[in-house]
Amino acid sequence: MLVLTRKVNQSIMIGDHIKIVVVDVRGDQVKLGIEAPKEISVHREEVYSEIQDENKRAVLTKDLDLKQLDELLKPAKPTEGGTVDKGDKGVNRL
Amino acid sequence: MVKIETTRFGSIEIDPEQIIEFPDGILGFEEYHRYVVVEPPGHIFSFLQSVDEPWLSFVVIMPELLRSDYYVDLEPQLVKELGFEDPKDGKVFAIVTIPEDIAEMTANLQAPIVINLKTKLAKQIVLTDGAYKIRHNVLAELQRNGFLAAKTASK
Repeated sequence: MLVLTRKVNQSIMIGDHIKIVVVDVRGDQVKLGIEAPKEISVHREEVYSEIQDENKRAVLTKDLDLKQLDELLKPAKPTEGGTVDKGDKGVNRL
Repeated sequence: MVKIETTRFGSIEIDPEQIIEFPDGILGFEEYHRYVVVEPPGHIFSFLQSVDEPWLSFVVIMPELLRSDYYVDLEPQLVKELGFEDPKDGKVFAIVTIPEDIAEMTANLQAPIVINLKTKLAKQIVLTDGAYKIRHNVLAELQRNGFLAAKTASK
């Protein structure tokens, strides 16, 4: 791993398009500013690992009893053949 | 038709045309790329079943059933990755986690599965606007949305 020392307001570049600025340092907390093209998604690492963990938990549902689910959800079935009115969501929305 | 083995449904026949490709896999299962959506008639749940691993299967639900105003923005990168030409080709599912007490099952509305039914490409995306969480109680949301009678949801 490359380790760099930076002061407040100094930055690093990753490639030509991603800039990370040290905005503030207080005690054990560092505030970072990130400038990146829109198509680059930036998340706290925890978000990813939380989702990975949740997916792993989801897969553990092995012997799901569909009948039991049905019983629980009897009134929940959409009445008209399972269609849901999606409404007007605009052109670029799903 | 080809036959695949599944832990949940036993041996099932699928149309190879229906196989959906996740180029990045699903978070936590990055090495598995091919799935089919199994939709038992009359159920509000569907299943995202791996074509290659019998045990790898997710229970999924349409997020609109839990939040009628749910939507996913088709960001340019997603349009490119999944080859969207028309948003109508899109299908969105939320992964459901079902613990021992099935009344406590939750749906992940923060990281939905987006499928382009035309190109058969899919991806689990992460929404960052803070509107949705990783765990939404399914029964409570169904109840709020009017799909479930109030007395049924509380055990």
